[in-house]
Amino acid sequence: MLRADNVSFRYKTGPWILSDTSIGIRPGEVVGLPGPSGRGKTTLARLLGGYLHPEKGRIGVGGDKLPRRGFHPVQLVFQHPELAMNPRWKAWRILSEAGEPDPQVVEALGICHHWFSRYPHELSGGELQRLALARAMNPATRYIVADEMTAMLDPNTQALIWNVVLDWAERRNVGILAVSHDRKLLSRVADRVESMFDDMVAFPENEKGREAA
Amino acid sequence: MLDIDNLRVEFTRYGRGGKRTTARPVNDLTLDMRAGEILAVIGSSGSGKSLLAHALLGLLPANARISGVMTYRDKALTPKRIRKLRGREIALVPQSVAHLNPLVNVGRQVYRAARLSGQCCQTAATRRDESFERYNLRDTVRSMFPFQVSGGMARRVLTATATAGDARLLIADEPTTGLDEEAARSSLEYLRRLADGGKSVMLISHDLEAALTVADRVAVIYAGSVVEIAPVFQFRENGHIRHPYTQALWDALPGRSFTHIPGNQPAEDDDRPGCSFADRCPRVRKQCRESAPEMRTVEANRVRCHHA
Repeated sequence: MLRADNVSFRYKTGPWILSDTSIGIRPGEVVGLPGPSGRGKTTLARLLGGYLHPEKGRIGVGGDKLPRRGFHPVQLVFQHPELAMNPRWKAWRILSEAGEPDPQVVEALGICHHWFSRYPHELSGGELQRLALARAMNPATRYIVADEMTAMLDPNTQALIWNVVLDWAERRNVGILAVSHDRKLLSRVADRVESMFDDMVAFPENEKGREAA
Repeated sequence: MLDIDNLRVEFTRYGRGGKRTTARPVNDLTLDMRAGEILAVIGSSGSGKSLLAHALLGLLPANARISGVMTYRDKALTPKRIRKLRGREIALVPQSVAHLNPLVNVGRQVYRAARLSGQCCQTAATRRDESFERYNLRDTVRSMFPFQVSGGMARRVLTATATAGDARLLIADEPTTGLDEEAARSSLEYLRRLADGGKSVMLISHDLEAALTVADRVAVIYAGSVVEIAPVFQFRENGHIRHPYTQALWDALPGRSFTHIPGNQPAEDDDRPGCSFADRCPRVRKQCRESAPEMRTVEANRVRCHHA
């Protein structure tokens, strides 16, 4: 289980962005995290991914602390894939940064081989996001934190990406934290919605659970 | 108001060994806009929707070749006329405060927009004050710098810069990206108010669901070409969506079936004949691979498909 226990965070001596926040994601579980901007959703995502370190509290996977080096079991997928890639690397090098990608994943995401010899600026947002996701869908990945992963994408690409990643996570028992402002999307993909950053009490019924029943 | 007929934007590139390729990111794009309406232009990233805005504002790079006919208020929209009209009759609603000058206070920037639209200094000052009042911005906001205004205020300042002149046609490129629900809704509401006041608004976005809440008609763009223009009511119950790609986008929404069609948009230098959607179309026939369909009117929709 990926857990953050009573985590607090601030930049230097600035105001507290997160204080005493706790969240848990079980293996194979999809947790939705909605809420308006400026509440610390992205900060929490970055803490879980090991990009930031909490000032108080602890974060761990299955009882172990997050590793500071080597492959991180919690992989973060951002809203803007172009900012998560070296602009001077070609797509293939980006994709295989953490080892050769799984050909099945590459095919399911509809990644074409002729993209591999291109630079990030020569690919569209939807194409880059699929590369970023394929890179994160590594055999060693145990949790994926998707921070507004499809907010910039058209509905068809959004559905494609989520269908592929949900199917993959289910087969491999990978947990997902889906951060998004889109309630309809979360009620579609998430098993459970964590509403700590949300003012709205009422949340639409979980459609995914209903379909499975 | 605005008619675009078979607009084509081409770039010539030189690949390895001096090999020349022609990319055509906008290809036979046809659309029309009426006065007082919001036309949503919906497409995926890389479909050519931003290039359309750039073509209308004359902002394409020098190596772009443009062909096709653009008509604005019954006269041809030539590069020369664009230079004359942009900022005056055709205005861009900037996407974010990042498009404003960070070193100049927002009051001055709205004033400057009014001045650039051809008004004398006194009218421009009045127009600035009027637009600040219209968007509920207090006088103190005028002397603030872009970094000091909150997200919601920024939306209003940006709308104010676009409307400080007497623009009749406003182009809003992705005005809701990166905003939370509340801010996105108010951003769209401002556009709706402008349209209700008689202006034409081109709302360029990838977010079909948000666009449907304010637009009058939706133009769906695929591989550089408008495949369908449909009034918003066609997306309600008993409506008729004619193009399979529009249908696919509609069905892919999380609130609907969340399904997707596989495959990718054809490359920009793809020269094959036939319909650009043929490779992914569930209803593809032999004819689709042989000849490209023309834009035609089917009831309330305009659609580019052999099956419609």
